[in-house]
Amino acid sequence: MIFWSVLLFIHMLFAVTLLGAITHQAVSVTLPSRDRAKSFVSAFRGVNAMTYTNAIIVLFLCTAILGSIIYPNYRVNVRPVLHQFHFYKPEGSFELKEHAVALGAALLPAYWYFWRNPDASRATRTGVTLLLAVIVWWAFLVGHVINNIRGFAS
Amino acid sequence: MKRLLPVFSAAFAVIYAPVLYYNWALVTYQPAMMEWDLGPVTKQGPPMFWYGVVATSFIGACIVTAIAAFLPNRRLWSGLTWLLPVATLIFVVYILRPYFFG
Repeated sequence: MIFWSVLLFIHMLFAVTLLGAITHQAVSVTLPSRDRAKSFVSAFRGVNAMTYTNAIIVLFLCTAILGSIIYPNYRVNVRPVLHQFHFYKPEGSFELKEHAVALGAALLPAYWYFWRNPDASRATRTGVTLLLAVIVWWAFLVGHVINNIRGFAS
Repeated sequence: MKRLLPVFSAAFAVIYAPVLYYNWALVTYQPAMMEWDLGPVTKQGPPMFWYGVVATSFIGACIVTAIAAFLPNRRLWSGLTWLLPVATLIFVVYILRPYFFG
């Protein structure tokens, strides 16, 4: 019980770090800013997006692997409760999350290639990064909601 | 060889949709019994096909990537590779529609 709660907590910490990194990169590639000193928003937009790539890949994989270890526990202890109380939308959202994360993990090789390849266009980098960002945000929010329904220490 | 990385990502996304729809899971995990079975198997308790679906898609994508390695060295995929996972996600939402609209 304590073991799974600790694992869930570590999973959440990885997810928060990943969320910050991918959001930074997505914003800086979509709305780049050269004048970092202008304001907080400009500084947020003006980061060197390239430097985030490897960290995002490692964080994504660590978060996904931890999530897949915890997943059976969700299946046995949480999902039946969601079903029992007719929480179909959170249940379906979690189903979508698992598939989105699998597709996101498989997208990482292309993501790395497009960020490391100088010939790749900005539009390509923007597309692949925004898709990863949407997947990470969806996974985080759904995980958060499920955790609120029946998660940490329940 | 780096040019093959987007091929793997694209192939995985394309293969994932039929593997999920037809449940061609390579393995099934039975969390209640803590057992692994080969192929899609339903026993006592809820079966977990997701690991098997990912494994099948991974193997399929590796095969497609290996085949692509033997093709002439030219631009195999455009920068629109990321649209394929988007299409698969839309298909997954369609499969899961009873949860949201049922």
